[in-house]
Amino acid sequence: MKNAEKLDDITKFLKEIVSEEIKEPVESIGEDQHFFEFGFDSINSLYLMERIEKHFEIEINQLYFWDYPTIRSFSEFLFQEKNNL
Amino acid sequence: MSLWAPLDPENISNPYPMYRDLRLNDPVYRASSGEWIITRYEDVRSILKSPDFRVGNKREWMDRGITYFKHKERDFTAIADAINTFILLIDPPRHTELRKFVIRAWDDKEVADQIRQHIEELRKGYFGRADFDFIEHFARPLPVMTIARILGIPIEDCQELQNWGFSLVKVLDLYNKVEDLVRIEKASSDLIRYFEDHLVKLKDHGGEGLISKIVELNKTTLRLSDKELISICIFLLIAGQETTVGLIGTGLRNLFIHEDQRKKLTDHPEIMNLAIEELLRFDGPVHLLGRIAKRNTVLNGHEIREGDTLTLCIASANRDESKYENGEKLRLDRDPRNHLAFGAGIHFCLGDWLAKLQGAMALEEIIANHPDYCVRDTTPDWNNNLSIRTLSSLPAILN
Repeated sequence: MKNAEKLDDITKFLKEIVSEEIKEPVESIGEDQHFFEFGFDSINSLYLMERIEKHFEIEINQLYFWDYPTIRSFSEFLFQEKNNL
Repeated sequence: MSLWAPLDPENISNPYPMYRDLRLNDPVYRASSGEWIITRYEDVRSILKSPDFRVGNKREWMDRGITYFKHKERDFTAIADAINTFILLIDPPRHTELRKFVIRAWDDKEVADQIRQHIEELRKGYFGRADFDFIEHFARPLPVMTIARILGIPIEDCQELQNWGFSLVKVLDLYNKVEDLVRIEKASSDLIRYFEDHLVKLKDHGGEGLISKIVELNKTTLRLSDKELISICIFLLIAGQETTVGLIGTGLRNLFIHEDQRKKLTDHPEIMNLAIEELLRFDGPVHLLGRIAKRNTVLNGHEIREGDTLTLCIASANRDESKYENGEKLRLDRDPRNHLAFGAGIHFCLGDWLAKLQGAMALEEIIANHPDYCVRDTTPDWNNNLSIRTLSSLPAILN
């Protein structure tokens, strides 16, 4: 397990990888936009998932992108998982 | 809260309560991911038999995935090559000619003696073992030995084929992660190489078995490429492998848990064929099948749009109380006719007879010789596959 993460850092990381993937500046990535609005689907979300799993040393699955469909909700979920809340 | 949470740990260890909730409360359920989850018998059966729905979703998804991951410097091409002629994933008219082709070549179905011989060989290996495991020492090796014999490939290659087949069958799962694709790709490459070599040997020296018959028939009929022939070989190898492991392994577990039913079978071995059907209905290995809507249609008042993805819960349909009285109960003396464990319609399993024959012979072996067998762990682990559900182990004591 990695050490506890700060919510802001999690959000920042998610914004960065989304920005990298869709090739848009990180400033334009809204925290309340749905992943599918950014163009994520059942294939490129796999790549996103792999990046998240490796970075946070956590196991997640595809359905989490639908259960926590925005960067804000996904960050909160990861924050809770990483800090055992 | 979502009614569809198949990846939650409690649903992985037992998905039936989730299926029941869906069946009773929302049998045509739109999951948050957009896919439709279908859980009632009549709906599942009608979709399987309807020309308004097609298969092929997985092949298309893989093709898109390969293109995408090439940009990430990962090559999964071997997976597409391995599954390109999987009859299960192909629609008519191509499906019709491929299916006819395989049925025509597969003209020798007298395999009971060979299965009996394999069971005897396995018995010698496991007899008296302190660490005996129904899956590892019995249910897992048997089907691959049988199909190897049928296909005409050396029995000593079974261990490797079994491992590759187990990895590759994950491709039929509802969801795959990148790490799964890496393992599937490796198994695909190994299997392709194996059957390439086998085809070369057949061309040089001839041979026996189903592959040899397929190669011969191909010369005068479909004229499939080697790539397509190899995919058919891989399909025939894996199609009945993991599913038969599931039928035997899960069947033995259920007969242990339901002691009264096991006694029924011990006292009346003549009901074996019916018992196999009931075990398939009650807890068969194939849980989920995918379909895509070919056109806009209405299902139980829900508008399904062309291109929508549907997940058919076979294992739920088989317990539907509106079809089977007390469907959640295992009753070996019931007539579970028309269960959907082998599908329905044009994609109905080609090897149902072989699965049932092996299942019956394997259970006969255990019930006749070890009627008081004891499963050491009644809450064992399941393999990581939602679509084809099999136990990873089942340690047991053969009294």
